Amino acid sequence: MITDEPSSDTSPAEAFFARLEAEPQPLLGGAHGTLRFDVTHEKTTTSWYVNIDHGDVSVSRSSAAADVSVTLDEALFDDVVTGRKNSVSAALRGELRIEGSPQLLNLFQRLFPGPPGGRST
Amino acid sequence: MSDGLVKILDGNTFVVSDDRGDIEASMTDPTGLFSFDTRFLSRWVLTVNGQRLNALSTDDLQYFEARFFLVAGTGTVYIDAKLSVIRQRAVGDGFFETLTLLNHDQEPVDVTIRIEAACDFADLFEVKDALEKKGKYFTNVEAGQLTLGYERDTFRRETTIMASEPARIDENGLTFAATVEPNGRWRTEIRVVTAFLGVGGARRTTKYGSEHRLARPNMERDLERWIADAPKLQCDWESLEDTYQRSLVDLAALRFSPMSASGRSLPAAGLPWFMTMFGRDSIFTSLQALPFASELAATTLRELGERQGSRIDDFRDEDPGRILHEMRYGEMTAFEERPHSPYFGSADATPLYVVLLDEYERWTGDTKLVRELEFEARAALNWIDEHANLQGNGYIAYKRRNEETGLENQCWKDSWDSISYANGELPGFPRATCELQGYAYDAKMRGARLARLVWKDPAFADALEHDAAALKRRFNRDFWIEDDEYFALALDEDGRQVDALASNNGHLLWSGIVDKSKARAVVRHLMGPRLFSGWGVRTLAEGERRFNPIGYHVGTVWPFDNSFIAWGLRRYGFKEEAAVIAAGILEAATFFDGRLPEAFGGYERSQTRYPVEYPTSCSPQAWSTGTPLLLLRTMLGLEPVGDHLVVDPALPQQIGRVELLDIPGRWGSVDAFGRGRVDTQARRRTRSRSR
Repeated sequence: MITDEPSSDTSPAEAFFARLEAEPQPLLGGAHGTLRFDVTHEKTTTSWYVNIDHGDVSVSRSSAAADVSVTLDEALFDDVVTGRKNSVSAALRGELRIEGSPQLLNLFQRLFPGPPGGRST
Repeated sequence: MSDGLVKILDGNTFVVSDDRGDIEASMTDPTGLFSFDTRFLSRWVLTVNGQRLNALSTDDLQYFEARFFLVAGTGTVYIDAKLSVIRQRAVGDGFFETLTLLNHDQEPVDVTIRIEAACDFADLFEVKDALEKKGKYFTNVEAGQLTLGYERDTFRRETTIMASEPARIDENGLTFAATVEPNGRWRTEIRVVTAFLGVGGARRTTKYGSEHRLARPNMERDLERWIADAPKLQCDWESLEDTYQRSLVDLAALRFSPMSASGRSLPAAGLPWFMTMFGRDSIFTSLQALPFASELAATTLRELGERQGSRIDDFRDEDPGRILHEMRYGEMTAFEERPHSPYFGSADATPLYVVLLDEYERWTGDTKLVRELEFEARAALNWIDEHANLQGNGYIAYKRRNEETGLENQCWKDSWDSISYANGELPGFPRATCELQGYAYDAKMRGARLARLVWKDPAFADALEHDAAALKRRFNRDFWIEDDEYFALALDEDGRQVDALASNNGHLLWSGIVDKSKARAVVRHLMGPRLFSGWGVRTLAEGERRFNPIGYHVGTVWPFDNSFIAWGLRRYGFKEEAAVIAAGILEAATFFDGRLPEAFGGYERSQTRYPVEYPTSCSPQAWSTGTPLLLLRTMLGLEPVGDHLVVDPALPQQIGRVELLDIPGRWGSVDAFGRGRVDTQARRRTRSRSR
């Protein structure tokens, strides 16, 4: 579990996962399973292990085996969790390495925000 | 085939070649090997002893397999037929090609066989629009295989070619040196594999596994099973039996299995440009096929649900709850030069999603799936009220937010000039076309049924029914053109009626939004000389300023459109009129060997005697393929009621006796019988006298 309070030096990824944990996610109401994001920065990898139980999300720093794992660069991940880049087109560009259940990843992608400044209608 | 091209396909992988099996594509034509919207071979030319081959005959064995009988020499007068070549090709993750050389001479013969291979890795969008490539090409020759590749930043696509016989491989192809004994044969099997590569060169696995280099999928057995599982049709009208068979096989060919679907399939929209998931097309086709192959609907609902919109994204015209319009996998989508990752610019797919979910349950009794998709269905219903009410009057309207590459018309008539006033002027945006309101009404009514029956939420059901009733009241007031007695095509940005008469009135009957008291007048228009051509209902009525019998959505007859109009006529009790439309469209099908095109000309039937195919229409196209299926349903009057299937036939005379056996559903399996009693020709004559 992430226990740190979000602060000014919180990374976009930390802030994103903290928000998911804070309350149930109806967008994932029908989903259960585990995902792992292996976020690489130069030679280091930070692993986020996400457990989804019908809308309840818990996140830990673990490299345990998951139903689906996604390896991607930190700069891209920061852009995805803040809506500046779209994860589906990034996958088509070959910027994600995906192993395991694509269904669960498709569902999880619903949680990535849209681009900043989008017009609601 | 009429264009001299041989097409074989499996889902979104397809090969288009000439009648020799050769591919010599230019940047602008859709020949080659395509997969996931990318061309993986643009050149594939076979020579024997340096000579091109001549086709003696070509067999389309199955939709996924073709065989070319060839002889060496290109002479027009004399062909040395001592050496013949059989080239057999089957699609599957690329394709498999077996080359067999037969020596008919009494002497052994030394031959050099060469296959030239090259690829431009064009995105289908680039082929359509003739655009330039931005990345770089590479070629690798190694360990008995040739790899052609393309790279742009992290985007990488590869085609690998390998053969079962030893070959000399260079960057432009493979050369085999063979000696064929007298009356002997030489054979090699060539496999072409497509791949897209991810981070660190990780390969997206191919469907049939790379460990068996030359392993083939058993598509033959799969097709046999597909046909065996479908109901059996027997009738006195032989060409209808042929059309039915053609539809089943084409529907099998158009099945597309998204990577996330664990092998399950949904209908792609059509060959060659639309071999992908579309919200509208996949839903309409699944509806048409429900009595015959309900698993298509289940996969469509799951896959579209999984990718339902969840955020505001102007580039993709995405909103929370919106069902996607189109998904693409090519380079331009990857680099966001096109918004199809996926693109959401469709105003009808979302209400139609709920319609399909309910209709699926009525046929199959699969309440489990309805429970699984409760969130998605509720989000779709919510989209109608929260995100589609662009005019502020409670109607679904559309206006694209992606003004560069988004779609202007987000209804099924999606060409630029499809929505016009009678005087030909085009309305501004947002536009609220009439059939969208019908779909919304139907979605609310059906959503209410599911809420009560499956989600156990009677309060939500009551609210939906209350909304639906109010919508119906408003609609019958705001869209009804009092003087002419039909529904306006749309409301414009100021809420004024767009007054052209169009086939959309038929979809309104299907949705049930039409007041009973208005139905007869609507039917009079649909079956009247301005709309009904004798083959079917025209998209736009004769006499409207923009009417053109070969205008894409402004005068042609669309078989799919007519199948839903026929369903609508049945819904309001106009059985004989439905039979007239079914007869017209099914008679038209006989002119296309049972394969209905996307659209054909809206000329008066007595004027041309045969239906004139729309020039560049897509074929086979999914919802045209599904049309005979839905027409069978409407003619036989098949309707699930509780756990029973009601059969209430109203069939055209020429069908004679008909039986549809083993119709699967929640009742197990049921047979339907009928006899043709409706004199559709006489009814057509009455219509023309009323001109």
